[in-house]
Amino acid sequence: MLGLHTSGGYPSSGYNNQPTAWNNGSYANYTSYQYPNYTSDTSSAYSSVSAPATYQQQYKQWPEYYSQTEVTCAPGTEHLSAASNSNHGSSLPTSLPPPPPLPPPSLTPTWRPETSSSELPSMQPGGAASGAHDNYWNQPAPSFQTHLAAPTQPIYQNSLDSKTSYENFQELKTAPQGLNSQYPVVHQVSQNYQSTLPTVPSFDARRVSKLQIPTNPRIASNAALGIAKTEKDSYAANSAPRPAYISVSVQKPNDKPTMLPKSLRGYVERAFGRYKDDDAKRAACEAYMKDIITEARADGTLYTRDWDSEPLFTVPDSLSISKAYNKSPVRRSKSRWEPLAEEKMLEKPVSASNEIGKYGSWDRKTFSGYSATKDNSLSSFRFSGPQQRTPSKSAQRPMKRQRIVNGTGLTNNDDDASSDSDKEQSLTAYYSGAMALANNPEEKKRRESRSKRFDRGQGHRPDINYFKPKNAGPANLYTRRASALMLSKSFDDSANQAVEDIDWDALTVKGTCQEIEKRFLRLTSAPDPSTVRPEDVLEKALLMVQNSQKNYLYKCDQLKSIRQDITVQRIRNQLTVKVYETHARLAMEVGDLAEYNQCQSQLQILYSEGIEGCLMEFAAYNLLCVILHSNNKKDLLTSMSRLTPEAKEDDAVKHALAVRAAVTSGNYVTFFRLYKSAPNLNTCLMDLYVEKMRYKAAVCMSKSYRPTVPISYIAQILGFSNAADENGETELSGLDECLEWLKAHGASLITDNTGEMQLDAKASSSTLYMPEPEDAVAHGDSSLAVNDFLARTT
Amino acid sequence: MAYLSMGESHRRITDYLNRFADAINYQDGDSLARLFSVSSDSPSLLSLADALNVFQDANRLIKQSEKFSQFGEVVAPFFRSLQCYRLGNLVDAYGAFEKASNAFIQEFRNWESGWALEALYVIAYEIRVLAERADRELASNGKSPEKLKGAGSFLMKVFGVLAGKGPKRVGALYVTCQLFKIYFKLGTVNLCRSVIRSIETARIFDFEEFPIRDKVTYMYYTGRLEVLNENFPAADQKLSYALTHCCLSKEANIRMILKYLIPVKLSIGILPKKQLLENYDLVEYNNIVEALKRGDLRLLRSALQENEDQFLRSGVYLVLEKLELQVYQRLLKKIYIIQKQKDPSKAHQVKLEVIVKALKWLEIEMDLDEVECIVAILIYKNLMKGYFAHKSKVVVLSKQDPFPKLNGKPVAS
Repeated sequence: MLGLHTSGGYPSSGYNNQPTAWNNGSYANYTSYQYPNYTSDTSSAYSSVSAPATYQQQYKQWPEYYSQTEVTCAPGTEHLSAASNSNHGSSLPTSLPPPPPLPPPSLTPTWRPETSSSELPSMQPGGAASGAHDNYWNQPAPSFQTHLAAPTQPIYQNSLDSKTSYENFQELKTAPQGLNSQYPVVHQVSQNYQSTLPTVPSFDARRVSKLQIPTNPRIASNAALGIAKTEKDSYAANSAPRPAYISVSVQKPNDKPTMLPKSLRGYVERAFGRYKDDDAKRAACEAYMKDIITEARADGTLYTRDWDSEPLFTVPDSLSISKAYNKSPVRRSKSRWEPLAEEKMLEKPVSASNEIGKYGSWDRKTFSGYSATKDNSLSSFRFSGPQQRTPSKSAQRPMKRQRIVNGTGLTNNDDDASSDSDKEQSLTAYYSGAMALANNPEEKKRRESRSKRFDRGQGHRPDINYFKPKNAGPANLYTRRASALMLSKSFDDSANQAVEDIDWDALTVKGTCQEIEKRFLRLTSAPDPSTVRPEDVLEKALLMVQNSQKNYLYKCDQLKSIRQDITVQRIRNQLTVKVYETHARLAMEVGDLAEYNQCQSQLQILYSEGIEGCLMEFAAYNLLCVILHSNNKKDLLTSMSRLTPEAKEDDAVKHALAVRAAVTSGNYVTFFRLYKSAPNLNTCLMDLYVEKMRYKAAVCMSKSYRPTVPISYIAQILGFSNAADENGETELSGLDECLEWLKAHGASLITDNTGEMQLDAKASSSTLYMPEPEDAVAHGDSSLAVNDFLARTT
Repeated sequence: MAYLSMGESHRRITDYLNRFADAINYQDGDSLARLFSVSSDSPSLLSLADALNVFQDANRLIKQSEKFSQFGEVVAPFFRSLQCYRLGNLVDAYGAFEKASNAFIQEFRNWESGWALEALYVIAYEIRVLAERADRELASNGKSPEKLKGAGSFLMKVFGVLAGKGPKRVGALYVTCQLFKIYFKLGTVNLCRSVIRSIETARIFDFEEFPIRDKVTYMYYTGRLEVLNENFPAADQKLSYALTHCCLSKEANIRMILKYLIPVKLSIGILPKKQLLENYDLVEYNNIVEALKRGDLRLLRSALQENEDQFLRSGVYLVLEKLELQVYQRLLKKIYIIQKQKDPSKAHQVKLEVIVKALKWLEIEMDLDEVECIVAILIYKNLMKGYFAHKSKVVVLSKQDPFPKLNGKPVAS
């Protein structure tokens, strides 16, 4: 990308830096950059499948490669790591290839000697020429080097290469350029540069503006550093609006028209949509698709055909045997004592990365080139795709050549296509690059612990699809979040462990939305910062809710959206506490226990983190809630034992504890006294228990009193109040209310000779019952009955 | 550490490997068990750990010979665990040990007989102990302790290995007990349920076939669960089983059982002898028993308050608190007895005022309504036979057995 403005020398130096970045263990950073390319623009549905859309991503990747290079390795360290890497390599001298071909013409001859001598002084045992180094240290992981030794497998090595993105270009390779087919990597790479660089500026205006920098290669590398920074800075801004380059048509590297027609994209999407869930079929489908497009291109109907009405092909089931084939190479040693832990450790990440590459890569051929028979340590690789059954390596080479000879028409197509696989392979790259570090002992250790998370899946379920990139990308994913999403998704059941490796700080959303009011909508994808409110707006929103005259449903909705915004931005401070407290109180007032419980559990975490709030008040609520509503002895004991001596002195907590004692002993008199004297919103929680307590009391009285109990006494004891309600109208007097209640519960009442109403205890003891609550609903939770709920809250 | 030569280290490591290989070849479960017990701090393992720290490339030794390399999956992580353990890095020690255990379980699964059960016991124990220590280390570093939880799920896997038919099932109860210990420690006792179900409902487990040691532990923990559920008859049965089968020399264990059994027995109206409480250092119950005998509500309350933290932690607080009703019963009975001595004809009528006055002497202020409520509850719960006449505020007691004894039955709810 930079090459457009720089001399030929620049890109190559940029390139050379790149592997050092890999080797440097900087891939942790890498994840955050690499993955985004991968999913970010996977925008609507499965558009990643359609070549042109992803094409852009491929270019987008470049600056990030550069920035990666520049940011992560300090000038000194790159030499170091390169050297260490080469040391490792020299222990395997066979892996050093014979002298390389001539450097591609477009590269200035000067840089190669320079870099090789400065960066890789130790690794030239035979004085191999520069190209050899490139080839050589393209293979960062030792296990791969063994493959290098067999030069007949260039394709494979390429596919596992850390710079797999280059792979897309291997088809670009044209025979004339002094190509030695044994070292395709070198050439592809150089070629990539030539071909891709010119096109870049056309599709990313923003970046281009930054790239208008002197063409001197040395300065240009600094420029790249600048880009890295600015990119970070402007990241949010950049991603919030739809990036400009999405809609800009892209020029083919070799100036061929490459933009596939929109209708074709649609066609491709439709084709893939059918096999969302069947990876084997999807693989077959890809192959078909490629053939169709190639054909169309060949006979010139690519742009003229009506793809919208083109019938979809069907993938025969027989092709899905490739799925079965997937399983076959999995090694199961005869004795489980046999394989050594160490060996395994290396093996796992590799196979994982391969699996990544497997899905959705159009360029299946690059993978299929490698047959599983080759190396034991790699035998657990699984390949899919139609070509994988060509087991001998010799079978590939003609094929490969044929593609080269086929000329531009075909290569264009493949190029388009592979831009998709590119993204997956950037994952491959991620792993293989990371493996280079496995030499380093402490890295090794870390790596090992990490690789453990593959253990389960790899060991037992070989054909599980960890990475489902095509399913992963709904529209407008925010790239960094998306990468997090990918990570967590991909590690499936071992997500917990994977999570600790993610740098969440780098992934946290910073909201930009300025609107105070926002409806709650459960997120189904990574949050879009343009719809997330920053902290100061959230504060206003909270105030607005607190002062709002609207009903609880509205407030609840607003508070939930505030909570959501707080959560996605990982705000944990007093504002967070305030929001949860406000919501908890509101929920209590209307008896919305479910919502209250959510808030309460969050609050407990927040308080335990030392954030200030109404700790005592909520400790009391918590106690009451456990006593009255969950009736879990264990929870009650833990809540009680957690109370500090100061807490036990607090009025609200004391009250709650007294209520607890009253409830456990069934002391209804105390309970209703406490009910009347409850501080804060303790009453609200007790409200929900009143009915039960009254009933228990009535049963108890009817059994122990003889012959009668005056209703007036019951009314007084059981908290039937004479108070007028808010509207000023006197409701039923406490006595009448009590009378109503007793009648409703089947009590038998008599009037004694003084005219006072009495409860006939003996008669009632057998007739009392708990009536079905009037607002009962079929699903058992009356608060879910919308109509009733509205009536209560408005 | 004294200087350790390379050769000596080498010798110690190969010695261990030889012993390991022998133990497996001769199916010597006891020897194998000793080779795994990291936390036992046995001299041989400690010297091996030192040797490993000197001789860093133990893995090469394992790989070198066919005889050892087959155990590589178990021994290599075990060595790492031992090394970390020796260096005080317990988190990594746990991680490596779990890895080694995992490999061992894989192998164990394939063995027909249960010869290696002893070793498996040690592994289950070590997993738990190492996890507990690792968690302590994590917590002191301000990280979230999660290893014990991981140990729980690992042991659940081990349980799955054992819970089939065949000779290995006798080991299932040991693993269950380790699981109980973890769950009780973590406070996730509800997770016990699934294990209990498979032990108690599965026909392949004849409970009496399990080793007595495990049976006692199992009954102790299930008894504690019943205490939490306030299901006193079941708790009594389980804890009594544990007590009668517990080895008499294990005083600490007996004490642990009694700690729960005594509140249970109190709840069903059976009081322990003072001697018992003193023998097993359970003096915290002294005052409670005394309060029950005397009907002294104040004493009960103060005893509860005094040991509140302790009772809350052990989980018997709520049980003891419920004894209050029995104390009221005792108090009323005393009043009844005194009235009987004065005037037998009116003894069965107890005035509410009298009760209020009696409570006042105990420095407990309660008004008529409250006491009336207590009396109503006592009658309702069948701790007192009779009725309450609201008009005259008098408790009218039955002439026959007005204060029925609980006699091993719990207070009606």
